[in-house]
Amino acid sequence: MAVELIKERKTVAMTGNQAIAEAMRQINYDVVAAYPISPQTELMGFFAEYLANGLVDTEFVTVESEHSAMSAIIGAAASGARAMTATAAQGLLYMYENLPIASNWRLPITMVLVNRALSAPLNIHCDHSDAMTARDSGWLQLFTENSQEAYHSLIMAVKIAEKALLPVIVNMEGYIVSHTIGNVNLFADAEVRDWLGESDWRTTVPHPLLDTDHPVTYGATALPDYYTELKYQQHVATWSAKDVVKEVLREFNELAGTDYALVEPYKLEDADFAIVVMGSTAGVARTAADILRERGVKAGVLKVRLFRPFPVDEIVENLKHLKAVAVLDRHDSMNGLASPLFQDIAASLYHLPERPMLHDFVYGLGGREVTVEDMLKAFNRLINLYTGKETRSSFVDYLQVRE
Amino acid sequence: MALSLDKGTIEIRWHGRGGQGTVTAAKMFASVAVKKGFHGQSIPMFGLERSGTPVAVYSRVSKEPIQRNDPVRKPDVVVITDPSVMVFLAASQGGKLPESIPDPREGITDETVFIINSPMSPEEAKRILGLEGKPNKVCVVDATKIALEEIGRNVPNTAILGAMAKILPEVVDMETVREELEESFGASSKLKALIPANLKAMERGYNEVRCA
Repeated sequence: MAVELIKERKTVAMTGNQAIAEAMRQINYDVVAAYPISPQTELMGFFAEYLANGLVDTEFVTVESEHSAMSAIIGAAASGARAMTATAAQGLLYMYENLPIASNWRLPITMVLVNRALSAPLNIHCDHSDAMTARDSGWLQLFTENSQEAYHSLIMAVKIAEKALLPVIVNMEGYIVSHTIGNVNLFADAEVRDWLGESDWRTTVPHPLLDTDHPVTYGATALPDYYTELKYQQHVATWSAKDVVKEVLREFNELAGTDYALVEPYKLEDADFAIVVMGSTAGVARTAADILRERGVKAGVLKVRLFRPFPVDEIVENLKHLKAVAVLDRHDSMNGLASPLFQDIAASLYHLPERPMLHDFVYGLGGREVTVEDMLKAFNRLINLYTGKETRSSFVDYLQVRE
Repeated sequence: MALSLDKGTIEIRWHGRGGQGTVTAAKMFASVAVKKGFHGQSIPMFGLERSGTPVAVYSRVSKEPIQRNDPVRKPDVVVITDPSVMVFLAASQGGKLPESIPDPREGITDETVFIINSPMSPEEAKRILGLEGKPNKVCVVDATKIALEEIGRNVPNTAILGAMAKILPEVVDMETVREELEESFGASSKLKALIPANLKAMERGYNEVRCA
């Protein structure tokens, strides 16, 4: 039996990695499998300490690679276990061939992705290029701004995964969130365990492998006669997952007294110009919007929390009345068009008869520091494009490049 | 004159070297701030993290939730835990530091307060920083000497926190640091034995810090 350590809520100072390990302890996963990679290593180190001290009931599988980590977790989840892993950058790529299997098998796995730039060149710092490789993998994805939100998001992700029967990635930015210390309000252990409910292998998935009275096949072939139907079922599940996320957020907000939503608008109601952003840059962008408002510019920010499935209606609702929108992508798709968040925002707004002008800014690559001045620069460029003071040769600017 | 949170967020930039506990000191500071009911933040910047390389660490403390997580560019307080920064500055031509060492004077205003680990006098430190005649308060404490005498190792953190208790009494005080040490050291009996020496070092830091 897992030990009850925290008996009532308390606010402590924690890094993102510490907060995630704390959530893992409180969730008391049945199975965790992981292979170390910076900046995730420390996270699993904290959790391993809890395990060694006998505080959790988890079966911790120290595998020899990320490929095996994902394989082990898929097997565990198919058996009915509450299972998770965490990784970063090339670690995610190494497990990649298993990602679409987890989602098509409808396995309620949770994964923490401690966002790190992809090699090459080798870099251990944050950007979203690892998360973006998983955007078409069928996994749901949440982005988080700070250690408090990361802690909350992992707890809600377990419920989202189990209700939607789809795997969920919780993105936490490497170093910027994983190693920055901040206020975290922790639940009492019992609150987390009551809210999530006891893990029961007979009910976590509809057809657990361990149910030998009702044997099932996972991983069967589906040739041209059935592949489309099985993909369509997954399609429907992914589309309806948005409502599941909404419902879980509502329940979570009730429990925690928070006001999480799929997207989080800041001063958008009367705004002319806005930045759309995911992750830890949101607070820096809000600070810049406040500065511009003092100068008489009606600026706002939209933070996207749920990246997959993409909350199209909520995006449209919050952006449709704006003059121009700067989309911030912490990743470059290298595709001659624009990066993923820009593409998704553009596609969401396309059907409107009148829509804001859009511009894409690639920023924060490989841990490049993101300052309030950078955000002001993006706003300025956007406004100058809108008023015709400046021109553009493509939709994309590199916000911070030294020329 | 002590700094107060009534005017808003206080931003701190720490200058140290990898492996000398600057990150730990900044973390302790944030932890103590949270214990006092404030919002605390500490951002260790990890370059190629190697023991002995110069590091800059950033902290914020506020009565309101902290929105920003970018590096501190206009510090209210500069804490120099690495005594060699002042030695380099004193020896440098025209007060220019080697490129590998972040300059503690970057982005300072007339109000910026310095807390420096060094055996020199606060007047000398102020002169070396090029702040003679400026309103800046420059405080010096020989935290390394205190740490060696009290703890027996070069871990100047708690003596520095003692000096900070003098400048930022709203955030840092002996009782909260004791609580913090008991929590973070409490799990190991070996570390636990070091708590009294650390508290003594903090007390000496508080009493021995001198400002100009």
